[in-house]
Amino acid sequence: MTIYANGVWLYQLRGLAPVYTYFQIPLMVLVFLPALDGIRPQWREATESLGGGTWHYWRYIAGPLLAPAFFGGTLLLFANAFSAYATAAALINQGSIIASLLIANTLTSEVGLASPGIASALALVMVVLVAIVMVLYTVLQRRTSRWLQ
Amino acid sequence: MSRNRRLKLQIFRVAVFLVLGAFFLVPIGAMFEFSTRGVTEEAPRTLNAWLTIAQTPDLVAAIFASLALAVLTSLGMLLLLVPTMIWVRLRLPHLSRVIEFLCLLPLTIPAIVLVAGLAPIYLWMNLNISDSILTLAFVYLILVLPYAYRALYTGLAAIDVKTLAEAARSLGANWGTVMLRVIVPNMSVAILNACLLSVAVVLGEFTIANLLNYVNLQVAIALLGRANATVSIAVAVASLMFAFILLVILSFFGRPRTRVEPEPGIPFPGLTAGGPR
Repeated sequence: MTIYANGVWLYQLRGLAPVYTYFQIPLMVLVFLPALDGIRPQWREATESLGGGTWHYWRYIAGPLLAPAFFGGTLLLFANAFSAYATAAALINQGSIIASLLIANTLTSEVGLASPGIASALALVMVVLVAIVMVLYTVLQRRTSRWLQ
Repeated sequence: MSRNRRLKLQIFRVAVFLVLGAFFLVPIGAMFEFSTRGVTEEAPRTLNAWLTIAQTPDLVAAIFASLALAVLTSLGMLLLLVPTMIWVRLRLPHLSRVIEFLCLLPLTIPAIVLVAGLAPIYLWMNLNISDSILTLAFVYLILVLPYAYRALYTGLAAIDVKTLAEAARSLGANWGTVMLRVIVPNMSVAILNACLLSVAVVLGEFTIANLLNYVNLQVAIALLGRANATVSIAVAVASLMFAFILLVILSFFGRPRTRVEPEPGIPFPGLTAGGPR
């Protein structure tokens, strides 16, 4: 089995995706499981007594109820992946293909190209983006707790 | 629930468990396999890489630096958080939201952003106070705040702090006795939890140490990965195992006496504390 049939993709941007899943999946499980726990079996029974099947249950009851929790979790994962640095730094030695690597390289250039101003500006952009995501997350979380919990 | 559906659910569960188990365990197994390889492909299995760990002075120094940082950070966290949280709970309940917000803030601020802000401060500190790696304990104290706060909060919520404190006070205890000899022993499990989580965070920290040019365990692993890959992987497996052991200890002792529901709106990625992101 050759996983590098189309070139060595592990050290490129798309190579980061499978590696990031190793810290993203546990976070999603931790964030999303409480919402699943909030689903009550009575809702399923109510669906069935009204003549609905599995498809109706997931499409019209469980799906819409879980959607805010799911998208909230997704937002959290977005912020998490966006701010990750260690994985990319360990995997990729040259170039600054993602924002956190660019901050690191402008902060501590080894060949005299350091420009802490750019690093600070990029860091501020990151803070603003993460703040927006967290506000959206709080909104979705409030919507989740209307039915679940 | 019909029998048919229960069977389907069971099959689904087993399938998810197997697929995810393989997804997470295969790379660790592969790491172990790689760390026992000989020099050539035909060479027999060898534990040389594991034995070399102790003979690599840089690595040993980094391991001890990380352990010292873990101890310092845990102590600092306890000194800072335990009295503050007890005091806020007893006397300043209106401040609890503020404290909570402040403590959970480091979860949302990317570590790389923290570094960008801290770099000038550490430059000054290196020149004027100390350039020891142990100064990293100050930043790590900030990093572990969210995890430690959640752990201690669960412990405090499970006991009736107010009654305990009033009883002790009416028997003539001063505030030091109240905290150290009445409340702290009642939340020892929470304190252990907070310490274990802090240790896991500190041992897994890479971003800040790397960018401030300190060599802690994870930085040493990354550096060594470029010089001697098998040894670096061996250390990585060892540190993973150490984190697993910590988490197993945590799951054994970590149950609060009465279950306290986490407040909505606060993500608690306690288990994701270990390991660099």
